[in-house]
Amino acid sequence: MSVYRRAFLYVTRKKGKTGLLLLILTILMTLILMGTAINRTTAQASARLREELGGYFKIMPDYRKMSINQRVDQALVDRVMEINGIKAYNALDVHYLTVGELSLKPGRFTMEGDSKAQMARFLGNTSSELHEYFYLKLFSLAEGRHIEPGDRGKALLSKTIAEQNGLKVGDVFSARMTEETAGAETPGPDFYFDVIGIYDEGYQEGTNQNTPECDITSNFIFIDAAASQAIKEQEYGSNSLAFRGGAVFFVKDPKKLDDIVADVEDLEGMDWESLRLTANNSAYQSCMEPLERLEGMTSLLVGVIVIIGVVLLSLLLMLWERDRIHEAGVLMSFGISKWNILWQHFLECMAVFLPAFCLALVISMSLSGWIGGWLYDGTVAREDDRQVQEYGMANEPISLKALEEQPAFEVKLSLSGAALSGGVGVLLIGICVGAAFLVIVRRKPRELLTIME
Amino acid sequence: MTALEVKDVFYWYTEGRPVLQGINLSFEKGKMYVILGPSGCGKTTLLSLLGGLDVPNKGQILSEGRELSEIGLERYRHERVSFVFQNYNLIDYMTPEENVALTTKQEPLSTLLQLGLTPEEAKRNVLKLSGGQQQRVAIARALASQAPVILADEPTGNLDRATAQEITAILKSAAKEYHRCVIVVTHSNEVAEEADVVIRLEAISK
Ligand SMILES: Nc1ncnc2c1ncn2[C@@H]1O[C@H](COP(=O)(O)OP(=O)(O)O)[C@@H](O)[C@H]1O
Ligand SMILES: [Mg+2]
Repeated sequence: MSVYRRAFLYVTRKKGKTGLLLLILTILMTLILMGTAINRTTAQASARLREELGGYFKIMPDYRKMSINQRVDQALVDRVMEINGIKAYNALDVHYLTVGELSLKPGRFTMEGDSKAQMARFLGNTSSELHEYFYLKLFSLAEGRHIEPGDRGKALLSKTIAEQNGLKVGDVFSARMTEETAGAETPGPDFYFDVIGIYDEGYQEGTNQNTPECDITSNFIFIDAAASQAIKEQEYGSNSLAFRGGAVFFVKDPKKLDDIVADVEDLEGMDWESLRLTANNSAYQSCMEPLERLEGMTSLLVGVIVIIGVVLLSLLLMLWERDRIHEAGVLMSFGISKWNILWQHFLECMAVFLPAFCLALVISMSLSGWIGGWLYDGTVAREDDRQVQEYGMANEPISLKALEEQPAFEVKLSLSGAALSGGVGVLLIGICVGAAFLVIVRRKPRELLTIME
Repeated sequence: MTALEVKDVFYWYTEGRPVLQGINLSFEKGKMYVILGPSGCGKTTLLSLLGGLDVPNKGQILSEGRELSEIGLERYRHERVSFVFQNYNLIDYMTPEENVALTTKQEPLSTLLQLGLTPEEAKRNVLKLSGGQQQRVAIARALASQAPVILADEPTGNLDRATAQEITAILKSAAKEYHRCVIVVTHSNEVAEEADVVIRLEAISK
């Protein structure tokens, strides 16, 4: 009689044991499957989040300090760029200029009849594409192109302003320093800008009529680094050309961010008293934290389940194996080898495991979506009512609301996840059967036969 | 030709306290041997050595002239001996037919019918058979294996007198009709009376 037939007869005749084992394995595998599915979903969600939000770090002067001895200038930027794994940077400046000939989207100053109603915020960029608003896809380019390194006197306007003023790509507008704007006592020269692109500020800051014009996102004007330098020269003189908004560096592989940040911190001649390095902005962190918590929780859960499962299963199988010592002795007295008997016992468990696994697949497929949603609501989405304001790359406020439109957290059993769980299950059974079989392996066949007589 | 030969065999469970001491025996096919002796004198131990379930500490056991270790114990048990136990030792999740099929590729039913089971009994749960019927299944299983040697340890120990006689008759027919070498360990003089050869094993005085 073949080992397969023996295993088949055992499983089909010992219905009670088979039923109990089926129940235990089904529960165990369901838990493992759901645990790994949720764990993987979480890991994927955080990886995606890292890609989308976490692939950069910012170095800027620490304005909280009384005196700042080191600023972020081109030399510093160049040194950081020499570190391996950094693919691009965007140096940032902020200026307030009066745009006499443009009409801005009205806010508080218009209401108050203040001449600051004509003051706009100019955001200096090396590459406007890398500005947080565009990088995080809060804004998108509607026409023309982005500001690139090497541009001189180029600007990006919002769709609202462009339409309101009848400006198109290729048109020119001017701006100047006035008394209202940063510290210029005498109105400065006119700065001329070519409109090279128009952005769609699809996302609207929670503005109201009390918001100053310069804080309304539609009134933001992105300009190139050269224009920004010219304004600074005018404003502070030519010896103070550092980037006032600091610089943001983009790494090639977001996973290596922490290592690269450590390299930057180790750079010689960096005065970390004056400079502030921020990796993982708080938008990223507040999204990441609950995900990491959930990931950790499910890892732990799966670990605990696996351990409890192994213990429970081994105990049960050991108990049953004791009842089979005699049987093993009898089979061995007919010249059947120990290993053949071990194989039989393993096959028996596998014969129960396979249907249990299929059942577990069905159960967890119908349950994991629901469980995942429930867990997500309980851990991740709890942060929903936060009103954190993120001071982003350019010190511009970014509401997290916009970042919350993360793709739905959907727990799905992946093929590889199921295969992994199945493999773990088979391994578990192998270990448990092997452990239980020790009772038999360490005895001589004669002892097996006499043990209960 | 001798089916089985025991040459100067010693066996002990603990050093210095031998259970078997210098045993010399030889067994032939077509005969029924009975080993008699007081309880604890080492009958079961000897049988387990003959059956290749254990190895002597000293001396040799030869099957048709070859030492067991040379044949390989597993192979020896598979091809050359078969056991019948006092408590039958049937596999409880197999029917009588399936129990017999454990040791043979041939059709198991005919052997069972020859030993007096009905076709219906041959398909029943083994634990629902009487002791005598269970022992018939065990003997059928031993016969079906085609092993030349059948070893039986107190095969009638759990049976009433009438059934014991039937089982003894079957064992004897295994020697005579099936031309096997049947070695039976027993307390029973009635079994001993049927034997071709009676071997008395003495307890070793300490
Ligand atoms: N596993 C064992 N370990 C130690 N001593 C044993 C073991 N099995 C049997 N013995 C001893 O060996 C002797 C012979 O036992 P056994 O062969 O079972 O005798 P019998 O079958 O003739 O009654 C007895 O004294 C018994 O106590
Ligand atoms: Mg005995």
